[in-house]
Amino acid sequence: MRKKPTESLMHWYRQEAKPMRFTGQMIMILLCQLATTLLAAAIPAWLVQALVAHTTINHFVLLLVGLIGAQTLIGWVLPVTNAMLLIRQMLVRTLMIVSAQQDYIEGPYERILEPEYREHRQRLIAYAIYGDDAAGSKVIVQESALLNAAAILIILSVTLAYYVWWIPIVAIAAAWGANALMQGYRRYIRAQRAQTEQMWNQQSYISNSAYEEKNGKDIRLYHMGPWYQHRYHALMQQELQFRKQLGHRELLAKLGGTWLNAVRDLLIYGGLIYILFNGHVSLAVFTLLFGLVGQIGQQMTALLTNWSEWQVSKRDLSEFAEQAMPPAKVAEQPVPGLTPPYTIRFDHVTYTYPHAKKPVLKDLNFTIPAGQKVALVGLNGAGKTTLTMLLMGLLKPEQGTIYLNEVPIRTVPDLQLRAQFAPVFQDALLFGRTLQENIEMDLPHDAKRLQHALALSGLADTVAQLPHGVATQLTDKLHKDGVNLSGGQQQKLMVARALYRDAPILILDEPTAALDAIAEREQYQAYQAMATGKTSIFISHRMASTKFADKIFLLQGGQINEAGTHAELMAQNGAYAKLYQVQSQYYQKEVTHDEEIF
Amino acid sequence: MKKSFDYFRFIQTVSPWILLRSTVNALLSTAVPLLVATLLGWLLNAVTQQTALRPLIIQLAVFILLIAVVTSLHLASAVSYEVATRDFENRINERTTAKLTDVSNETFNDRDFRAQYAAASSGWMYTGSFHSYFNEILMNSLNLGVAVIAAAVVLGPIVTAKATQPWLTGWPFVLALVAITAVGIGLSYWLVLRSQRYQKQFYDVNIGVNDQMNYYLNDLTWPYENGKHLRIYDPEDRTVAHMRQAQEAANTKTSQVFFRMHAMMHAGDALLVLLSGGFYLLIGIKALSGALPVGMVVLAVGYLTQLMRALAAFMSQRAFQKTTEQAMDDYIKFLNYPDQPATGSIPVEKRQDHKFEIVFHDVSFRYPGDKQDAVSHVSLRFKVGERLAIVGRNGSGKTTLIKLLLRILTPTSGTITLNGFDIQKYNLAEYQQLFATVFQDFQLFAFSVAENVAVSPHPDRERVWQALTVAGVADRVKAMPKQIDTALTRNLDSGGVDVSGGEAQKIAIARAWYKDAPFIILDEPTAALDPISEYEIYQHFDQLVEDKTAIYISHRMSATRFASQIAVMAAGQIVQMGSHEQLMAQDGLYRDLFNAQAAYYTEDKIKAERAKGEAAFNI
Repeated sequence: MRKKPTESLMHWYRQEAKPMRFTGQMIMILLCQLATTLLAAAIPAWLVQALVAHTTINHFVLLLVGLIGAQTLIGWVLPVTNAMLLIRQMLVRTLMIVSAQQDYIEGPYERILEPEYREHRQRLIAYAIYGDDAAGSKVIVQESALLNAAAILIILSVTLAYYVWWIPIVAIAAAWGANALMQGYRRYIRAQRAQTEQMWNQQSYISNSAYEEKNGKDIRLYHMGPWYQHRYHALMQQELQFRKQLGHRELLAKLGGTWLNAVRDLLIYGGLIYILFNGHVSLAVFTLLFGLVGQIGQQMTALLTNWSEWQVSKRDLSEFAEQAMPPAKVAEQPVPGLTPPYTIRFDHVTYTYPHAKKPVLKDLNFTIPAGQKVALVGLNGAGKTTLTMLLMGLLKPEQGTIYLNEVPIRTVPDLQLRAQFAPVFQDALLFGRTLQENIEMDLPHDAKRLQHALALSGLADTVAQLPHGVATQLTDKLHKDGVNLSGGQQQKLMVARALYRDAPILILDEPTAALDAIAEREQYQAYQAMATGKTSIFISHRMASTKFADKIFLLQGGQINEAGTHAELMAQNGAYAKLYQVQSQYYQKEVTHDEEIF
Repeated sequence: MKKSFDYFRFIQTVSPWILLRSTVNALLSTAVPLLVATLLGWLLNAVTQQTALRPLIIQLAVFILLIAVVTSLHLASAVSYEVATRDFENRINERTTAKLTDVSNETFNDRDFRAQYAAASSGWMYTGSFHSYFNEILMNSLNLGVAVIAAAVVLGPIVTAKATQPWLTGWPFVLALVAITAVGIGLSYWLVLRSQRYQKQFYDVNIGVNDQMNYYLNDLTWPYENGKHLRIYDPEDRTVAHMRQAQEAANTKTSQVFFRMHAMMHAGDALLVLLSGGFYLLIGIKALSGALPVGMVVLAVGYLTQLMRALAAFMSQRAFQKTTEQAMDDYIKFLNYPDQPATGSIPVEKRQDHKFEIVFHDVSFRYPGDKQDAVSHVSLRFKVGERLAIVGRNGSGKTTLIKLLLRILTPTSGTITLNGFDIQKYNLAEYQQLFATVFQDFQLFAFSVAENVAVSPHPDRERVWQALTVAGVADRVKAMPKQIDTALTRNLDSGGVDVSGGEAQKIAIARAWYKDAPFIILDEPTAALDPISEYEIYQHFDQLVEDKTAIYISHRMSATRFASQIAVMAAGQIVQMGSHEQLMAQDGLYRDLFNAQAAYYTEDKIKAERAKGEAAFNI
């Protein structure tokens, strides 16, 4: 269960932001800001007062030194505290980024497969925490600014109203009007967010893909350079037009504000001159009021601007907290009675990918007895990989139930369930850590087991040639002297990782595509050894691999259409036999390549 | 100075008007606060001298009108200047992209070149580079200049006004003002230099942690393909723990350095406040002795405050200037990164009959830093219209051989000739037009299917369909929402679609066919395909290759059946060469490779024959 947005954000803030001591800093900033505002208006007024009243030089020097001393001190404390508030908030933001990423890799696997979800999420993150412009980079500073503006505004208004009651009202009204104009402009910008974002994404796609190492060859061999540059230029021009349009609106809004303020100045300064002429106030007080009037307009503008931006920040942050922050963890008790070896049973399982029209697996039923080796064959897109994802609990069936030894897997906590599998996926993932850590992953170190995994996966020779053996850092992403492995070596490392894990259920998803014929044969032999005593599923387009299986499943139209040993299926002369013949004909001496099979 | 001139000249070449606009904008932005500062001093003078209210109000109205007009002008200038700076940045980005796509492949993959790009782009991100150079450095300098002039104008009468004490008039007074200024600015500058050091540290810490976080966030955890690995093999999220540790460690350090940097920098600012206190003191004492009118004092104080502000801004800008200059230097270095130009200029003879002969003469290649040749003393002749298969174990140099042929790499020794001339002597673009290649790690782009196949914004639509048919993916494309105009992925077009690995491979094959080049090179084109798709590709092979010269690399030994010649590579050398029948008759690597795969199929065949025999016997 996910918590309410604001609640989980506050929970998070209590945890992460507490050591930052934002409250103390905000109070410090408030005091300094008050003092500095008052001093800025008071010093010229006091100077006028001193000159008009002909204060003695000693008295003058003493007071001036005091005032300037205070101003100097605040002139240091205020910006430094402000800078610290800013940086700490930025740092909180970086921790929020980490937490969001935790949610991304812990949350349902199914949702991250959807491009729409990833785009939506990127948007949430961009608005809430990514970059200096995001809500998370501003919210505390905005709150601090709001607090300051409100406090100063109250003090100024009261002071001014004491002399001329209508001055604060006029000043506030003018700032209100100017802000309303700006508010329209800001709303417009917000409405254009989607468009801005799209333009930005398109631009960064082009500029990033021009830099990506893997694209270099194709861009050059097919002479895409000029075309790329042309596309980029067009995007840039489009953006510039958009900016011009925005600039036009911004100018109109700001010009409105400027002339509104001119009217305000005329009214207020006129009013001040009038009361001065009528002897209601002294020249010094006139100077003071003059300084305060300028401030009241500024503070009101700050209050309104920050208020509306703060609303936006809060909205962005709570949307983000609701959808992209990890929910509070609940410790789950392991299910009892789940002990290997496992019999796997799919019972009327149906699965449809989000937005897909047809289910990829439909009313699927099968059983794999404990300790059996099953080869899963079928065309691209038949749902072989999907089936294994469902089994590992990464995808959830739409209908039906999957059992391990008659325990429905949906009742098993993630941690416990995932520990039962050692999959080798189609693709490889290396971490920027040592080779040893890449194999052991989250399991404790065991030298013998490591050696066994290296030997059986055929990686031992590679390791022997590495500069630091198993302690060699992999990839040059985090360590400049890290080693990049070839595709074939990476595939072997994935096998070693699965071997080290030694889990009761082994899943191999087409692991030989990148290997040469001899390495392929070696891998098949390794699997033989690996699968002993385990329940295993083996997916391959190489029909030869099925020889090692106790049983072959042919997946077609979302169901297991044929099941049996190789000999049985060949005798049936069905779809499996056809697939096998298509591939094997090229290895037979007497067959010519243009013979029609279908 | 010399250096600034270079920067200005570069900026000028990118965007000719930007510096002038920047200057105008800076002057207008200085004018507004000066006018506002003048207003109070003028008012105080006016109210103490004038007795009638009406003319005073009229003068006030004119003054406020003037401020509003200047402010409006400034706003107009600022808004259009903002667009102009955007345009400037766009132009820089375009140059960057052009550089990235124009350099030779060797430079593109060069570590130093890529590091230079990274330095230029992160420098840009942190300092704003040229943009902040003319936007801030120029603006701050101009502001300071104007503020100095204004202050000098208002200080003139204050200095010359007669006072009761002699030291408050003329040179001694000037000297006192200058002394205070010199001490203040000197100290403040020293503090700025100190803060510069922390600035550099802050920058370094940040770049380090950003690289690291970029790896964790964008490379490791964001790609959805990695999601399954992370969930199964890292169920307790050690990756996140590592990421958090790295970030927290960096945060502590960042926070410290940031504090020191700002403490130093703002100590400089505070010093300037103290300095302006000195001015108040001197001017105040002189005024108290009755020498100056109140309005003039307030005006002077207002202008001096402006001056101090301009000075503070200028100083703190100085603190960033070094890093900004570094960023600009990095950028210029990137743009001027030496790229060995493709030297060849001989045009490639256009031949309808595709009569091209390519010969490798004792060619070797070694990757920089490697101890062994990747390709070693290879001599090879491609005959026109021939179909050559290259087989060998992983890492035996097959793909490197192809890259040498395509001039993506240049041989360390030996030469490759086309119709008798060294291939390096041909015009590179024309030479590469001879080849249509599908690499193992081929890439498609986020443009439409048609554009991807034709590699042009103006595809020949009929030919695109033909190409898709030959590659066996036409039916899939027909089912797409906008058929061949459908974009691949949603990166550029929200209506784009994702295709599977097998489908992508077929589109890449269609692209090669569309190119209609005399040579067609296929590097592992069926690895991701199921037996039926593989079969279809094989079936269309004749149509795909037609009368072209074909080079085929594959681990599927079955594919070699289509080749008239097979070259077997091991450790960078060609160890065997011949037809399938010839090689099968020899004891060697080829037979081993073939049998390793074929055994499973032929064994079965034998068993089947035997079963047939037994069945016959049973009757």
